[in-house]
Amino acid sequence: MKRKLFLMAVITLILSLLLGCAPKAPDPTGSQPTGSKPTGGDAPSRDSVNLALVGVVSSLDPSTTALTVDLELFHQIYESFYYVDDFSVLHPRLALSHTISEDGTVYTFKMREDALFHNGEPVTADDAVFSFELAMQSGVMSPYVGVVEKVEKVDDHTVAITLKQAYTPFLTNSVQISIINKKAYEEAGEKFGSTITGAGTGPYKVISYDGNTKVELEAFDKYYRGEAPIKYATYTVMSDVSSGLIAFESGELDFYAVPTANWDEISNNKKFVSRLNPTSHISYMLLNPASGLLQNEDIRYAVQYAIDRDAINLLAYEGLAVPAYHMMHPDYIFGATDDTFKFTYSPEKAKEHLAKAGYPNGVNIGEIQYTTANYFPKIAQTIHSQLAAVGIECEIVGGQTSDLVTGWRAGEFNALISGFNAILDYDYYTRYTSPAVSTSFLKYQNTDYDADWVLEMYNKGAAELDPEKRKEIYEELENFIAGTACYVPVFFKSLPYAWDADLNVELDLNYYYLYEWSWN
Amino acid sequence: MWKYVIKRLLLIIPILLGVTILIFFVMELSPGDPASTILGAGATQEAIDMLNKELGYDRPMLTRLGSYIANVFLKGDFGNSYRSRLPVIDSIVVSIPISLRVAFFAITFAAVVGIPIGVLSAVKQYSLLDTIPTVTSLFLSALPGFWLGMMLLYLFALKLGILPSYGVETWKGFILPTISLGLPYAAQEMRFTRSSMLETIRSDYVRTARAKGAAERRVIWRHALKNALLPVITVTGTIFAAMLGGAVVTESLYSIPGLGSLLVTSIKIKDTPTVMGCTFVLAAMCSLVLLVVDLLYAVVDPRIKAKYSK
Repeated sequence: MKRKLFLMAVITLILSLLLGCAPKAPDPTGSQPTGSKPTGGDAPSRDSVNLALVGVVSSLDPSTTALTVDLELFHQIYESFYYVDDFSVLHPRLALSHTISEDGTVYTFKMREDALFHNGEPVTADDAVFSFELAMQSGVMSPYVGVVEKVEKVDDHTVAITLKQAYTPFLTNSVQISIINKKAYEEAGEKFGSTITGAGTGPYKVISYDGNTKVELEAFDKYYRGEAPIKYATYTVMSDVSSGLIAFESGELDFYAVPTANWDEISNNKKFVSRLNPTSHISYMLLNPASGLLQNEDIRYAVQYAIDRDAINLLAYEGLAVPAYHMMHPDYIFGATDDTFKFTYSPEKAKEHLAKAGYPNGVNIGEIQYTTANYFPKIAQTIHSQLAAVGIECEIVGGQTSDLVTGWRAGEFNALISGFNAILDYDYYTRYTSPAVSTSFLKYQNTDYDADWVLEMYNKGAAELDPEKRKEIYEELENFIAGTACYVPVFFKSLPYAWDADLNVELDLNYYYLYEWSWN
Repeated sequence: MWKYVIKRLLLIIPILLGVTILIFFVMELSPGDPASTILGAGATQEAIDMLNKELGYDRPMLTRLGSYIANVFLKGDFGNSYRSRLPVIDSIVVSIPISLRVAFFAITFAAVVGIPIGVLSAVKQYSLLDTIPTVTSLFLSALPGFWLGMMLLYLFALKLGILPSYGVETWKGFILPTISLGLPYAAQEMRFTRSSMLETIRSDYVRTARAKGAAERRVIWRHALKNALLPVITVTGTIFAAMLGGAVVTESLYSIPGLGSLLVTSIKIKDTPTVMGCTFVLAAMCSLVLLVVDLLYAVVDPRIKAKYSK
């Protein structure tokens, strides 16, 4: 009897597990994407698009994260006053126009009156003020608004932002600040960011959210520029790129960032459209001018001349990147040009500088730390062998960026290999080269370089209202920074994308906006 | 018997305490801090320090360990995730059923495939019906799980297009993860069953049953198999316990949001409360599974039940 009771309990447990995995019942609200492909007619073939995210979504709160995976979603859900295109031209979004005071310290934005949040609330100046004040307190967003002194509501659709000093890059920086609904934020409290609140104004709203697995978007029908052509978008978290590629090739995903190793195969497949999208992301090495033998300028020059960017591009990125001779992309970043000082590959010059430094038979420059993410280990290994070829020995040591960055900011490194994505103004470079910015790895401390001059030039460039004069200032600054031979630009990453041949895709530098996509 | 069960349940407590302390120190000794990972490399140092303070990461290590142990063992509170700021238990509760299902289907597959083949192999020892399964099981045991999973994806999802490549929202989504996870263990089950059967079918009572004229099928399935299954039950239980947290590769490959995936993601971003919550739950589940396996012994083998009753 007891045995029978035990067996019945086991069977009950098994049945509960089996029943628990039954397919979900249809959504009674009818808002789930169909994903099916009807045939014929002039109507678009589909109303949804399936995409992948390479990592988990950390939050839906744009003031707390700037991670790439999160930004990919935020660009569909949130907006700012303006959108800035690849050539630094501003396009109105939640603001229709703006004025700047004569001294360059007060920006007055006239907001549009027909914009709504996803929860139906109208967008007002109160929300803009709240969003900027939130950003000013946020560790992630504050660098973009660190120069703001106060944000004030002038009327229901006019906002005045007063800066501590004239700062011309402010408009470009301000587009990083998403305008969110104050009421939704306050109601959600600590859960804002982990639940759906309808606090965005973008062309898509979140209808289903699980940061570990899937996020579903639906076109916002009251979007002021008109409803998006594609009604639904489903983002699935797929951390394994090989299985993501299989899902794309089998048609389960419509758009995918193709691993570089598979680029040839995918780009030659007629089923797909593919494009190598340029970015302003720079992979680089930084030599610490205050550390050990790297204090010697000739040794740094030797390292610079030893770097063969084409070879690194081939080995680390399958030849798909663009070799870089400057840290800021001269085609896309305001203030950056190709006319400034640069190092080119020359092993002979590398050996000459080594000899001049007093090491004609070679030298060991010590440790080079590198981030173990993505292709950076291959960059490190290639650089290691290129340096060895000219007589420069080193040890390469990998680690996660988050583990290393605090030490890097404190100047506790000999040399490092990493990367960053610059936004479209030379002033962004302060984050990595200004003595006064905490995120900078190169502060010129304990060196003979005039850190005060560098800071003065950055401030001068930021305060200058005339674009041509700004360019001159940045050209002079770039010649100096490049001349110190500390930063070694390697390449600008290109993103290999592929998508279904029936999908019309528009891509921006660094990002994309689903609003511009459609199905044939 | 109940005394034994209670004693085993009480023994789980020091096991869980040990696991908690060990994992805590492992996480503490690894470089980095949660705020740097959560905020990213672009955040200011002041923001990183502020978030670490908000998360309580600036408190001394032993203080954090002590308060964590008190909260877990006295209040059942695993704390909040550093990443989502939501209670850790919420993420775990969502992940467990998925991992349980995947593991259950995989172990069922492994047992249904492995045990009968093991019996056949033992009964037909030295024939082709023995050699082929034995060699195949060696091959399957040596296969890397990731490679097997990729090949299954390539064949069934890409080339044939008959099964989905990711997700477990429909029953079809469970097929490839089940085979991928279960096949290597089916090989183990087969080898254990074969070995155990070979020992049993040579026993005196089996010879007696044959001598009495019992049909061969009755001798194998009714007399020999029951006794041969005892070690197989132990192995099956151990495999199931291993599958619960060890299916990380499978979960990652098929984008299954199970406990293994949650654990690995949390380790990468140094989300210590989630890591500790996951390992605590895994350790508890493994201990319970092993207890159930031991109790099953008593059901299957009356000699052991009598021993428990004493």
